[in-house]
Amino acid sequence: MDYYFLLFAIMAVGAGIFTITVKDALPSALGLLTVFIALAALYLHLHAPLIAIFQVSIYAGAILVLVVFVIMLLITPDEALETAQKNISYRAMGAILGVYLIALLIIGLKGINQLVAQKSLPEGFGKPSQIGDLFFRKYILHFEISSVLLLVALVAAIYLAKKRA
Amino acid sequence: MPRRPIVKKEYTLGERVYLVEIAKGLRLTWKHFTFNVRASFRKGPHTVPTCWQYPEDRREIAPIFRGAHMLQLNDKGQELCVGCGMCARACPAKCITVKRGKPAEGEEDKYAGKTMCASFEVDMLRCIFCGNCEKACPKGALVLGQDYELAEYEPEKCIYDKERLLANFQRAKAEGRLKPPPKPIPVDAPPPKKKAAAGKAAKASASEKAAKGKAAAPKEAKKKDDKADKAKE
Amino acid sequence: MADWQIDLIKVVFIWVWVLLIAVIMTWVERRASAMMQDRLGPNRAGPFGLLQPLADGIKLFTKEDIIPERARKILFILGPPLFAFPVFSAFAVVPFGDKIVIGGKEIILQVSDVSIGFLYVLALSAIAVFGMVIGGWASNSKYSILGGLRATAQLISYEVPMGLALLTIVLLYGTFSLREIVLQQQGTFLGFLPNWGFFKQPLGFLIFLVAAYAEANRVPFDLPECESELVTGYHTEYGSMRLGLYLFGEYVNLVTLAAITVSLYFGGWGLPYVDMSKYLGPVAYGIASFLVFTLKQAFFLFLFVWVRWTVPRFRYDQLMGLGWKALIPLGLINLFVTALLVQLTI
Repeated sequence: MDYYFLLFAIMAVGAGIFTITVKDALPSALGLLTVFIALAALYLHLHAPLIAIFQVSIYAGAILVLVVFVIMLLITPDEALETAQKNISYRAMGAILGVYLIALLIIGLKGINQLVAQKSLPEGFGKPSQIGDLFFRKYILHFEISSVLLLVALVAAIYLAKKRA
Repeated sequence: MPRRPIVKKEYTLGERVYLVEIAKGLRLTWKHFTFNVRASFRKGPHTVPTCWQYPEDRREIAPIFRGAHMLQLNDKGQELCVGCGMCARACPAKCITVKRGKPAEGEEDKYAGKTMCASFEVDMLRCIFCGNCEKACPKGALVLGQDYELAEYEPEKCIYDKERLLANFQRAKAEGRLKPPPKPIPVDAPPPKKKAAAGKAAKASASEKAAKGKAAAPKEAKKKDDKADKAKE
Repeated sequence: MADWQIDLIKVVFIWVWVLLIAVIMTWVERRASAMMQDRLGPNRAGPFGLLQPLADGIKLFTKEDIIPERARKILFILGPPLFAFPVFSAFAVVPFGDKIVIGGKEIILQVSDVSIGFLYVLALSAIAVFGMVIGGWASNSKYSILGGLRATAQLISYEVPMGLALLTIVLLYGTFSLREIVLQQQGTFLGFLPNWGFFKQPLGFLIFLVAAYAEANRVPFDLPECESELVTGYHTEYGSMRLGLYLFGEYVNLVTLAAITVSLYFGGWGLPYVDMSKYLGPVAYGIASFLVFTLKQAFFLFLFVWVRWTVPRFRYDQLMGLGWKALIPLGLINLFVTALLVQLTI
């Protein structure tokens, strides 16, 4: 009985349900933070400490901070998100996407029987040096393309910011 | 007046980096730090020159400082206050309450005057320490002393009655911090009568001044005489 | 003794030690700042005011705990712990000494030597940012929200130069783990200098130090904090122990940053030219390395206080301009030059 996994899995699922059901914006963002931390703990359990740190420092530490910025700038603490939640077209889109995601999950979980058996991990699995090795030898094209993507985002941000000035 | 031309100074790269300035600032602060650390280890009051450690170091108080009130006695040990209530009239904050009374049968030599104050209360919480009462007192009985540490834990204790005011005086006398007598205000001498040709206006104004001078002079003279008498006594 | 018991003892020791240093830092701050300002600081509570932190603690505990009426209660209560706990936990990867031998077992003086090392600290400071954001927003007052926003913007924009300085460290030493970085800083460099990161990377040290001051919200970057002295800012509405947790968390953040600066740039627990393990027995060596580390850390903590009372604080636009327009290009230049030098010597 893997208590570590159970604890963080329940935390992740519970926080996820909290995120999508609560009526205020900032508690919802905090629920998302809890989901990220639980996921990071699960990555640690899977012997991938670097991915766990990426999850926390990039996802929770940068992206979620920007989301929280937007919430803080635009929404006062007294407002609630009722108007957005009552909109029919949003609900319809949400339902369609939800069904799609569940279908994906079911298809993706088909090969889970092979994952349950415990395998022995190769030497240096999950260490940063190994991931750096993979980045710069096997997956270097992917690395460069993602850096070009980031460059595009940077240029777009600067252009948008400069346009008003 | 022509203004000085405004010179906009461009900073050099060294100054913009700011690190050298920070280092100079750090050196200055370090000098202060070491000086004061050594000063804090020395024994005795007032080791750090710019910082007075109250209550060990206290500043000198000017003799005309307006602090807590006290009711004075004359040289023979008699109470000067006659209970006239001029101080209560003069007080802008209405904090003095005086009740006049006659001295009891066998105690007439405790008091300098024919009457005395049966009760005399000063509410220190209302007092603004302006000194009007001191100026108004005809006998020079009520003066403001040099005591400024007046905090109490209960507001009732801040209403000083006659005993407390007399005790203030005794304490000040013991410490040698009595209030010096007020300096007499100089008055112009009345103009000589030979200047009759100066004209009616001049004469009128001169006579006004003379009248004022004469009116002030006798009062001042009387006050001076009173104080001289008291000083003599 | 089992391994987990040893780890538990280390965790408890580090908690107590860090709390103790943070408490002593409050005293040092008040006394040292007073000495620099030609006055004496607290000297009534105990000799030289040493019991003053105790008095402050008692005062904070016994003050009335007010939650403003229009504040969001749960988030208001959640703000301070969300800020304080990550900064406490960040000390887990700091090597505060070399090995010590107790009862025949060799114990490294570091709570956990993970392969990700100081990235853990970066990630935790990212979470600590949330504590400020939530504290400001939950107070539900215009000034708190704006103050929290500015504090957050300052913190996340100074994470980038810090990351760049740390990137050059990784380039030099090839590892994220702080213990291995300290181990690689033994010996001499160029024959006469100690092999410390400071001599190999002076510009990187400068960038890291400036970014550390900004991350810790200390002068000259303490506009979010001083705003609350001017009755704005994210911890305006907090009182008693919640404010205590915020202020305490700041001091613990300082302690952690000083410890990391020492580990990365000043050789951690080693003396400059002397190898202590040759002269001391195993237990004494462990204690001596701990003492050396603490002394170096104390110097950096004093440097934090010293700079605070020397330099005036920056305006907000100057602050952000420094972070984005000066430190990031410098960090990139540092990265390129270091990469070139590393490539040329290997």
